[in-house]
Amino acid sequence: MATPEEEQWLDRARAGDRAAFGRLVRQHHRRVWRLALHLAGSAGDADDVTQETFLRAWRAIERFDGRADLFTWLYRITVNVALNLRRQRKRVTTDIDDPRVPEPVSDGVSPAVAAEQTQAYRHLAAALDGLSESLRTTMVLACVEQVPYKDIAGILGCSEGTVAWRVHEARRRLRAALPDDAVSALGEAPPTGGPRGR
Amino acid sequence: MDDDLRLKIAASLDAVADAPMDPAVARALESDPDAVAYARELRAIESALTRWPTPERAAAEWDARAEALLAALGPEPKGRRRSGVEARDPLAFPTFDDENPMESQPAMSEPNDHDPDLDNLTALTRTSLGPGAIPSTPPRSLGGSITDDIDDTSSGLVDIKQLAEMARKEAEAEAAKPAPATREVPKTQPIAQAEIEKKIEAKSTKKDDVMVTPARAASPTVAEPPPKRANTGPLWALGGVALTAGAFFLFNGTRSESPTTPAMNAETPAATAPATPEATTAPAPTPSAEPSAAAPEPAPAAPAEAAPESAPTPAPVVAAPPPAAPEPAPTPAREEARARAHHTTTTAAAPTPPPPPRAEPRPEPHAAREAPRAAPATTQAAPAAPAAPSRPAASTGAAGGGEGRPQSIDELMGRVAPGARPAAPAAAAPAAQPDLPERLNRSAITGTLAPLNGAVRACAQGQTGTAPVNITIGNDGNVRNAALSGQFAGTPVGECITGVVRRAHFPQFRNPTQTVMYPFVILPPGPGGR
Repeated sequence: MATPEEEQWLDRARAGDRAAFGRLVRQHHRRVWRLALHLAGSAGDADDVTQETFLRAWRAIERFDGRADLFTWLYRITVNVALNLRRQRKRVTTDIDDPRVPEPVSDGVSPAVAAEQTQAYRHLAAALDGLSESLRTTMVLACVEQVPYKDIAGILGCSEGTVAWRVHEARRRLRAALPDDAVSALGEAPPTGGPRGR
Repeated sequence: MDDDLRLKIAASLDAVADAPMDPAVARALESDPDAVAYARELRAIESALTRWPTPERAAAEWDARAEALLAALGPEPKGRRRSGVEARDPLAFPTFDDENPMESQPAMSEPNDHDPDLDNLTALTRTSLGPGAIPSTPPRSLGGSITDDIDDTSSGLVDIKQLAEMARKEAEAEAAKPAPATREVPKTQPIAQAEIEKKIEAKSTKKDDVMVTPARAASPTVAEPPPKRANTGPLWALGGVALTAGAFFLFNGTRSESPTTPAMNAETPAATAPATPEATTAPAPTPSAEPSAAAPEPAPAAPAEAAPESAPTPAPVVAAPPPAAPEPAPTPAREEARARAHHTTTTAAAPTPPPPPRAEPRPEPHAAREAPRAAPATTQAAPAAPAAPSRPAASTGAAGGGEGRPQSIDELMGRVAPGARPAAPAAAAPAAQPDLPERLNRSAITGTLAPLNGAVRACAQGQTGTAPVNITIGNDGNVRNAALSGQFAGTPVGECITGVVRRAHFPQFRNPTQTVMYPFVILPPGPGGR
């Protein structure tokens, strides 16, 4: 359910108030972009997906009845737009300098270890890209975005059991796809890494 | 270690401390170092995913992009033609190329023009009088088996108009043939025929276009005197009706027992179970949580088997209880645990899905939800054994009733060192066990603490920052002390965080104690964060 404040902005946006919709955009912009980045794989595509998502949302804002959280509705649009983009492109183009891969963190670890961890994240991003559409989307929503299974079920239109199974299967496949040293490095990774700026 | 166990371990990663665990996973984690290592690897991957850093932009850049985005808002251009992929409605549920079409189960209230369930249901319930019920080919003679006319796509219902037409044509064909002179009729038949004729005559007074009574003179079948000759046209029709009715019931009987289509048969239980909350709350009739068709190994859930196997299991000896009295779980952490438990009950003991019709089978949520309910009965016998560990109450979870519960996967992962032998005696203190590491390495510490990020974030209740915790760990793996510094020190959030940390359980080591400083970095909560 939308918060009362969000409901206010929604009502005004439904009435055609762009400023009110702008508030909603600013509220969800980063989250939508982050999801788009992990689904699309490149920053440029993530920008395109984000813009298209909010454009679609604006055009269909009257169809959002407010029974669910706004972010689940936006996430559904994001997933659809990202999937459409990938299908159009046929081939996923990722930046050479993958924006998803964090920069090495030398805080408290040796440069060698930091480089290993960065490489491990590079492997992880590649393994994630190697998953099927449904597994990758579900895994990104569940683990990277940490959306509850119930909300994922609402976003993807499937049961919570299906979400759970996809997550379990994706875990298994990710482990199979990752080299052992990458897994070891991920296990030793610090709680946070330095985000790679753009 | 087979794929089944791997999948179960992957499913058990969602388990919270007080949730029952799949007995097979619990046994494997207690005795199989490979399983423990695999669980730790999965946990490391999961942890890396959850703390995946987000590329950041300057606030001004976000604002600029938002402004540009708002400037581009506008109505949908009219007359715009889209390609096939663009034609998909972005507001609808996503469809995946790799997905079994039967896998999606949209809510009933959601419109779905391509609902495969609906299509299958329509095909199954198509009436014989509906469009397409009458075959385009001419109706066949009644000769032979009438069931030959029922193809696989038929609903089993019979069109009475079609049947009457067939009977009439048959009667006309019979009338065109010369009557056989030597045909004998059983003695009872004329009587029966006469009775039937009377009934038919009585009914034929009500003329309709459904049942056509052939002319009496057309009866050629019996060489009898004219008054005694039976008009076999209606008889044929009645016989046809009787045969058809028999075939209908026979077909219906076999249809209800045999699968309609493989896809429907494979998908229906899984598809309907999650949508029926009552089904999930029904008590499990049997401790075995695994569907027999899907379980390549025998179900390990028999209570009589659980006790002998679990009793001699090496258990960590708690050298001394933690000095800090176990405090009740903080409210946010408890809420999160409940939220995760809700997920976990569907996943903690997820059985291997049945052989997939496609690459990715649907799970069996119904069985998976039954599994945790079945598990306590199977595992309660184990802690009753004398060798059962006396785990700190706090580590069993605040939900209580945990004495007979199986341990969480994190505890079990910490129980067996990667190189430990399965049946090693656990009577000796950790310091006396030579195979234990002298101290915990970084991997063991992060492997234990990183999974607590979610609970710590829940404690923060939306606040962000860093929560450095100085943790003193006993060589039995229990937390002796946890002291928080930083911005949350001395606040309810800090107490909540230290409570979460105190319930952590590390692998054993040889040194008496080890002190580590671990900074929990609390990021902004994700949307609806777990």
